[in-house]
Amino acid sequence: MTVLSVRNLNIDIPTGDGHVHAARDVSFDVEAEELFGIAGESGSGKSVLSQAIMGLLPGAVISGEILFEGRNLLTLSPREMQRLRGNRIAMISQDPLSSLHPFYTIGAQITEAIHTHRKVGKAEALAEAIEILGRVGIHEPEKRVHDYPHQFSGGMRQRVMIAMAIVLRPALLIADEPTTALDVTVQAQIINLLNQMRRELGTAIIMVTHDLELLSSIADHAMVMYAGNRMELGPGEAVLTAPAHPYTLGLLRSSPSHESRGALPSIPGQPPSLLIEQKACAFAPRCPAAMDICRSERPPLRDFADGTRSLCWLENKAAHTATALPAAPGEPEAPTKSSDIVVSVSDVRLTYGGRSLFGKNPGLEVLKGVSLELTRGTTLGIVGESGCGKSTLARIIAGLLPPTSGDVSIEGRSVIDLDRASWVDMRKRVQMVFQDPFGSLNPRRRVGSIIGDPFRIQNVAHGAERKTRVRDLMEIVGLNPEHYNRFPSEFSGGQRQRIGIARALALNPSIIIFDEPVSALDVSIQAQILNLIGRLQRELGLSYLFISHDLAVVRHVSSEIIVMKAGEVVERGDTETLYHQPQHPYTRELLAAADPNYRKSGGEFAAPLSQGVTP
Amino acid sequence: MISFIASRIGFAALVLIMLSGFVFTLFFVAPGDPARIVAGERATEAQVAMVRENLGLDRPIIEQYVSFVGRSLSGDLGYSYRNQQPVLELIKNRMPATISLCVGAVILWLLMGIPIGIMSARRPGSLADRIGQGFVLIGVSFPSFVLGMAALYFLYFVPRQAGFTLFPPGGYRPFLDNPGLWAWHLMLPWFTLALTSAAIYARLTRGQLLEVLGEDYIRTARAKGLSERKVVYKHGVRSIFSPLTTQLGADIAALLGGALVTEQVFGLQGIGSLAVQSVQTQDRPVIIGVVMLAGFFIVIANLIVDFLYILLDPRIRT
Repeated sequence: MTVLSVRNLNIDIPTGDGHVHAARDVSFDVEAEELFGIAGESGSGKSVLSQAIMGLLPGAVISGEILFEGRNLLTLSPREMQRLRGNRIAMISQDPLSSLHPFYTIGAQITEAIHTHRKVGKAEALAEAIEILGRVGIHEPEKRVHDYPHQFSGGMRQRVMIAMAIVLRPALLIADEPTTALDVTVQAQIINLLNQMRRELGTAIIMVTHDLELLSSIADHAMVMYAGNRMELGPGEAVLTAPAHPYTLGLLRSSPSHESRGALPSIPGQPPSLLIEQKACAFAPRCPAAMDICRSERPPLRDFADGTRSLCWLENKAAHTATALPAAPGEPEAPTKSSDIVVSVSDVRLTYGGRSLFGKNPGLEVLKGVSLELTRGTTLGIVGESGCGKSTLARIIAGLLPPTSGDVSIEGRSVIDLDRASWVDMRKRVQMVFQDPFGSLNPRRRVGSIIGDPFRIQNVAHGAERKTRVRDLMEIVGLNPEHYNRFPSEFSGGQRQRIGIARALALNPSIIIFDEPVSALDVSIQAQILNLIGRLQRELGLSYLFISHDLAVVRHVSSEIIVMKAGEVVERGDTETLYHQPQHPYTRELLAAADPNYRKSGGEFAAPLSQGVTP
Repeated sequence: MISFIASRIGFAALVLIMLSGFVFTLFFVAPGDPARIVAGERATEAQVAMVRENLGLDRPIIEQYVSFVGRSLSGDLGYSYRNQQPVLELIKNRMPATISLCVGAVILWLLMGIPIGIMSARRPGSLADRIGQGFVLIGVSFPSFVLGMAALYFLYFVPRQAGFTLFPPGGYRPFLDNPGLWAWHLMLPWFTLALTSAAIYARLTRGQLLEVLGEDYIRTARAKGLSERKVVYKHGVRSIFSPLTTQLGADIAALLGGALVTEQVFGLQGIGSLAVQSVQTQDRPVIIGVVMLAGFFIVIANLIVDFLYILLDPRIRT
């Protein structure tokens, strides 16, 4: 039975700059009990689509049909739509930390949903809330139902969100990036839970995500969106193993979990602006297989034998079109092994608190004796989930935070308790690149002066010389030097991260610390940045500390990896050994959660090992 | 939790002790001889010396301070230099007018400001929002003495010329004598004192609510199928209580200053006018009494704000 049928949907959202064409001629069907996946990068229109189904897009111009249980949702009155929301169509959103009201108990929030749509007594609603909380895996639900959201971990809050969404047994559940904000090991548990619930309750699920691999391994059908277009639609397995559209293929190839070493085959360029009406194929400017016709006419819909449909001029599947793809460029160069230790960290500890006005308390131990060594010209990866202390460690190594005890030495010199002059000097040797390319650049300063800042602060290179060097740096990281006078807001996320890297390179450092440099970027852009990072290391002989929660990314760039958990190093070793013969159970858990091959086997996930929270 | 409350109360007491020390010191550092003021311009040196001894002003300052603290703990704040009345009694007589004025004004500005702010935030850019914004602009631009004068002219003087009394020009009627008359007399002072704050609260409410309405949990509430009213009032407005409480704590502290002007304009015999008179006549025991009273109320207001926080935000409770 078809629960939802979307027919030729067009969504235009009026903004100050003009109409954003967020969806163009999108059609798909969702069957009962099905898990239907929608994948796409930011700005592809996938979230707008889910909000349109919920009727939560005020002001948007929507044409086409959204048929839900036979009724066209676009013709319903707001009142009728309100009766469907939460009752027949439910939604869970990306960030469980901000999606629950902080001032009401979870019980009150769940029973509120029940009371809105059903005439039941208070006790009955509470009993129902407790029952559903138990089903989604909350321990002692009869006690915890009276707790507030802040008393739950992120994963537990997402379980509460799921409980709230399914308590009224909706026919359709829309999950918009339900796991993106969670740690990898928790992600697996949540996906598992959603899978289980749809089987138990017969709920159809639309899962929106940027993670195509995750999606294709669990979804019955997967739809790939790009710039508001439905590029490809087909059985999940088929989309993953034999993608029909060059864009799908590009996305899959640029994911670091496929290539363990060397340059990633990235998709060049940027997604197009949605303000401009598309007349041809939206992907043509970035497509390696683009033909003349792609740039002048809208592509036709092609049907393939395995049930996949693709919006493309190619007559065969992209996966089978050898010429359509560039060979993976550049052979991975073996990192020049040497015994030259550039960073040495020994038994670093950090404790917050500990002393207060009224006597002593134990304080919060953030780092419990971490030691590591970084060899010149290589990359040491640091993996761990949020709260494990990896970013704190990075700040200590960079000299931005003094440790409580232990020693850090850079190129043989201790950096603890440096005087002002030597500290400034040390800053030339160690640089950092931060996670958020949007927040870490001052929006009111021009890119040229941001990149030139290190020259100004360290008092090297002035005037015309500084300008030349900044332009050189921009060229090295693949930015157009003519954009010297632009502001950060005029650059995309990937380009901003290049600005951050250029700034880090300015003083010819020997060590760069990358703190989650690609986690805020889309897959196709992520590959470009990872390639840049690799190329710079080979060309400039840099040593990297690479911090990430994503084991696949870390594995791709690092020669050695340390795994951190709760302020301690639980395992260390060279990348391949650690990847193939993990010793510590936590490493195995991380691997299981990150490896798509593991996911595919049986579709079920590893048993949730750690229900708890990282303290 | 208990230690938090205890430390707050301890801190409040500390503030009051420091305030009393500060005011008392100021008393002595300031130029002018209180004994001369009490004795009068034409008193002889011997008479002044006698007054000084009577008032205990010849003793060391520490000793005077200790005896002042000791006496005030038993409710004796000394006597006015001017008419020998007990300071506590003077303040007691003036309290009803000031408290009526302040409490009424706070209620009035909350009742005006918050609904206007909510109305604006529900539909930003709409006609209702623009009217609300216009109110804010007018409200914040008027100093309270101009507003008081304007209110007197248009709501007392002009109707009076036309032959009827819309509102009285001022004066205070005790609440217990006749509540209706009490409210009628206070209407213009309340409005005068409240309008500026009402505008500020409208702006604050609008800004905070707009921010909250963009939160993820508001989307969750809509996704549940709640009516727009419930989304705005139960989920949205609930979240802005904490910032409003913060602002209210600060404003109550500053209220006495505004009350002072309003009392002058409308001839209310309140604490504000008592303070003005005692400063003019250098009646130091009364000044100290008024300052301590104001300090006491500010400290209590802040204590209440702190406890309200705990009630309002479960994240602080645990």
